[in-house]
Amino acid sequence: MLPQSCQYANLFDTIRSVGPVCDLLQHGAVQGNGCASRPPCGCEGCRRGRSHRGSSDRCVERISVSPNYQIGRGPYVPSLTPFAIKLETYLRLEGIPYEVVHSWSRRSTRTGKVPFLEYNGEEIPDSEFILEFLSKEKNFDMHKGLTKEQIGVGKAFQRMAEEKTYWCFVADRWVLDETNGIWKSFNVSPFLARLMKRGTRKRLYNNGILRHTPEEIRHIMSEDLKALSYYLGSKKFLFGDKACKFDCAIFGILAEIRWASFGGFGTSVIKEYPNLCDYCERMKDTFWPDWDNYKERDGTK
Amino acid sequence: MALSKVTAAIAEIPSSVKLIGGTVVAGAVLITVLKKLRFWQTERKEYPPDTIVICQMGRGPYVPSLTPFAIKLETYLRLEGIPYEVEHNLLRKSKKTGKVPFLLYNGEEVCDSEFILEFLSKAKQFDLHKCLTSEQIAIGRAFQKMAEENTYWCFVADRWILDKTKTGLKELGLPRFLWWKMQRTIKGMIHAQGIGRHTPEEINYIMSEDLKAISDFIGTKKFLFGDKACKFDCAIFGILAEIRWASFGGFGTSVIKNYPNLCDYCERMKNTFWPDWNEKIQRDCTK
Repeated sequence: MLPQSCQYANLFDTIRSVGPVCDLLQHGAVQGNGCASRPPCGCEGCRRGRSHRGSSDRCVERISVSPNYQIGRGPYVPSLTPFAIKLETYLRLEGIPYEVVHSWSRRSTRTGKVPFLEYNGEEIPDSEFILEFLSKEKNFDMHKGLTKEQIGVGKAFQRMAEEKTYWCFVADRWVLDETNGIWKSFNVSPFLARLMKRGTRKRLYNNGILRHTPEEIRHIMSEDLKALSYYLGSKKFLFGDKACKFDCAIFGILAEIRWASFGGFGTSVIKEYPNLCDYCERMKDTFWPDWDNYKERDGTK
Repeated sequence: MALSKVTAAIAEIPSSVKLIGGTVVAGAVLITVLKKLRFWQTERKEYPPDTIVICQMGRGPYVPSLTPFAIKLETYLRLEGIPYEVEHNLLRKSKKTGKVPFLLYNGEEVCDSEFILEFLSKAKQFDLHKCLTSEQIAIGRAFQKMAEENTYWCFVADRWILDKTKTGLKELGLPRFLWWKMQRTIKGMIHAQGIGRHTPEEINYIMSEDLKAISDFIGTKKFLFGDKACKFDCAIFGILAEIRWASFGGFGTSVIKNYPNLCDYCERMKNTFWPDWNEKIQRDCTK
């Protein structure tokens, strides 16, 4: 039996073999959605006139992930949205081939957010609904091997990470970071950064997180990470030696905090919990042996 | 005759003076009305030192408060046997966060139910997590955050926006002409949080999945971690009580009834910590 990392090397060959321009799209160097040289295969997407990638006898599911086209992946992480990392990590865990389309302006027509799934011309937004859709479509059990209690606990930790810790690091990265690290990373001028921060600040105030002081936000993030750290303990993954869907969700959030806080306090907070840093490295090494190909700059040290 | 003389005199006053005078009179009327509504509560009630005062929005209907965080706070203080006072004011909010509930303690204002409990645990020297292991504290926090940061927004959307009968708005007693303003504010909040971007069916489903997770974890236990309730039970009870008894015309009540052990859990928490429940609500619908 191949070690897990080698299994994924074979999977990546499968992904690359799907279309001749896979490599270009993976590196985000090609704008738009398709391979113009491949003839349409007659699926819904082709009939709607969208450029479409697929072999002559089957459609390939595409996950539309949208960081800034000019940046493509990263920097420092395969995506600046943790929900795309969650999706891709889970598909890698299950060995399901997929493609990624990068688009500067394209958002889900239903929710206005990314990532969203395109499957045979149908659009499904929201990472949780995407996984549920794919689990029915591809006949796999998202929670195989887990007891009901573990599913309950896993869901609770996932919700905590995605609905509370997530907003703490969004506030940290985009608003509270006085060095404007992420804005400079996008070459946004200080004047424009100030304007855009105002809009973000208003949204985060409506959400509730920015009603707290920066010290309180840091404390909330730290308490959430402490809970994760206590539960994980010395285990390899959440529920033992085998990763599950909930690990993918939590890894999405932790990877952003660990490697893409830019000038914010996130990285210093997560470093207070060494087992979480080790967990991030373990997930990265297990499911993303090609991590360095999917980020622009190396900040993983 | 006298009236026509008055109106004639007013007509002779320059427009600028009329404008300034009208503004001053309108302002004075508004301040008087707001004072009557106790918006600024200039005559604050005096409490003895070290009195815990929870400021919240008023009792009922059907539940001791329309905000689950006030139920959480009061339930925990009852669990620990710590005496407290409650001040009710629909319009008064925390100066720091603009929300309720908030704590007044020796003249100091502390907002956010979590920070209030942490503050009180230091001020009154009690351990919020006594008798719980590290793992239990972690699991408890995860369930609490799921309930307060995800399930909460589902029922906010359900109660105030998706309920076509607008029963919640009628029960709140707000004048009809203010309903659109309140709904607009809440729509902005749930859109910013994310739940507002989903369809009603999806929101129903998300709430159901969260309740299923809590139901599966509690199972046949009396409380989250066995026979003794803890702080996390109080937090979860706050959310579940609102869904169970104060969904008004929304789908929350029908969703939670799919999980009988959660309904039993709500009854158990109510009977254990709120034997005076019926005195603390405006109307009884706890059957």
